[in-house]
Amino acid sequence: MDFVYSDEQQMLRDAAIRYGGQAWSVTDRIANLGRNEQWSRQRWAEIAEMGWLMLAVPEDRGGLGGNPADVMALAEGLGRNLVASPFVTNGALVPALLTHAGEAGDEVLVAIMAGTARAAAGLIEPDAGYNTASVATEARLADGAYRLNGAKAHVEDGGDADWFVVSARTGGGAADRDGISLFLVARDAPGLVVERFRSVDQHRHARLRLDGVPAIPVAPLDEALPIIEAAVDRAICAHLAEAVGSMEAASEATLEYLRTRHQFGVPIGSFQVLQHRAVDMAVFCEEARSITCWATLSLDHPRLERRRAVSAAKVRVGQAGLHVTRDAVQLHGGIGVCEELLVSHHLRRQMMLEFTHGTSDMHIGLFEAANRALLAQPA
Amino acid sequence: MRPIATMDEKHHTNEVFLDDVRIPLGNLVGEEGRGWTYGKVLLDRERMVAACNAIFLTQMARGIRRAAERKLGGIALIDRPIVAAKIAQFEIEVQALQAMVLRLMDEAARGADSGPRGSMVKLRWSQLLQSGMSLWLGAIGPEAAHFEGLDGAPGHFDMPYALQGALYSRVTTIYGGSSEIQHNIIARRALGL
Repeated sequence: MDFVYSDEQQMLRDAAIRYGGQAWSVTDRIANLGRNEQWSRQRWAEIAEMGWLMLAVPEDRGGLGGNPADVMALAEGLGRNLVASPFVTNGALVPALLTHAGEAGDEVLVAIMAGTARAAAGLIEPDAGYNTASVATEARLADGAYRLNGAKAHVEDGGDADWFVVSARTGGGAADRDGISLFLVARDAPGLVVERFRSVDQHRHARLRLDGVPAIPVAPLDEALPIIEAAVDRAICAHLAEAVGSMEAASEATLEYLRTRHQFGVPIGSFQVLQHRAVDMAVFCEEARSITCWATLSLDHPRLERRRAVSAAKVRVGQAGLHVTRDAVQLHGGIGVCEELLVSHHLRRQMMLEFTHGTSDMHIGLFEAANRALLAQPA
Repeated sequence: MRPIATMDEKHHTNEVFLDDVRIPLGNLVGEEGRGWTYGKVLLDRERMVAACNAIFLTQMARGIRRAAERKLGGIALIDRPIVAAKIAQFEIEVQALQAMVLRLMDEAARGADSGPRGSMVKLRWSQLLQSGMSLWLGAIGPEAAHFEGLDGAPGHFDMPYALQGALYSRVTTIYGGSSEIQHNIIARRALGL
């Protein structure tokens, strides 16, 4: 990609924008989202039909073998019209977590690609924030099978999942980087309690309690943390692309409003104070797009360089997305906070993206730690 | 009357239609044609209500502190310098606003015109409400995504109130004269520009 999409990536992005414009109209969204699970299942089937859930899966596992920039193009297109399906979780996070999984993993990947099953990842625990190394859930081997005991505080997009990829300890202490393994757990496994939640951006999440739940290992034992961190970074970059699509849409809608809304006998866009605000929004969008490209290109770099780039982008895109969509609402005035206009939905999505896979405060810390470690390395 | 759904999922806005509504002559407020003049006075008074609300920002600061006592990896959020500095900055700004309000009330009690200070208070109160709400929400962490428990699932004890508050706070820089309008009023009336 470098900093410009290829023709194929451009087509992918445009197809996603077209799909979102057709299948996710504001009226349908308001009438059906959040509570109508049948409606969201139909939308999910459409996304599978497009082949988009195959994009990031390697060719030797039945997928299209797309790279992170391909995922960026698609996620950006989906973000334009706020397609609230769990694409990033199923199309980027879970396939990356199952990179080293055997047959059991393949079975789940095939079902995801076909649109017949959805999966989600249980990686963060109570009182651990977003730290995926802080794992107290235990996996015990007895009679040739693993059983899990513990809890997961938040499972992104876990509300409608048929499968959970869950981290658990097979060795080491509660915050050790070594000793973490990954397991596959079925939604209806005995001993598993799934509590479901609706979010303001209409995604559905979950909290898990695991009490002797049977599970299948899907990564090298004790060595899953690097896989988890790399997979989460892929999910973060896909979300950043979605955020870029969303904030650009909000910014453009605002520009259109400034041109057409009249007050005091003139278009409000003729007021210099509002022109400057619109310019700041455009600058934020440029910054966000650029740093998202840069972070996406870093995904195959050594760990510290990747950490530095992805955390930097997470922080800056988070700030940009909030600034742009808050101002989009503000410049629309009273109508901006209403359900019937998409700008208020863009703001809600950006607010929630700030809480997805780590807040800006957390990633500022990760950026600084990686920065120092890189500076300490011999040139 | 038709309800208007807003993003905070609270019902506080309606569309009102008047179709040949007959009202007694005695219900006319003041003189005909001077509604906007009266309205401006009312809006100015409404901004003073914002001043009253400013007093409650201290309660909010207490709520933020309590939410930030949550421990992450054994360390309370509030014990992390980056979080502590943000909360302290918020409280300092709240303190400044409260001092502004007290001064304004002192002058009002002496019968002095507050000038556009009501606008200044409204401007700062709405900004602080928004930044305070962001801090509160930030302290909740991943569970901020759990807006509504489905099938009776119990959520975080600050939810959905923190998120509804954060969403509602966006309208405070729009209603009662937007922040942009307050800037115009201050520029004209206080600075003579």
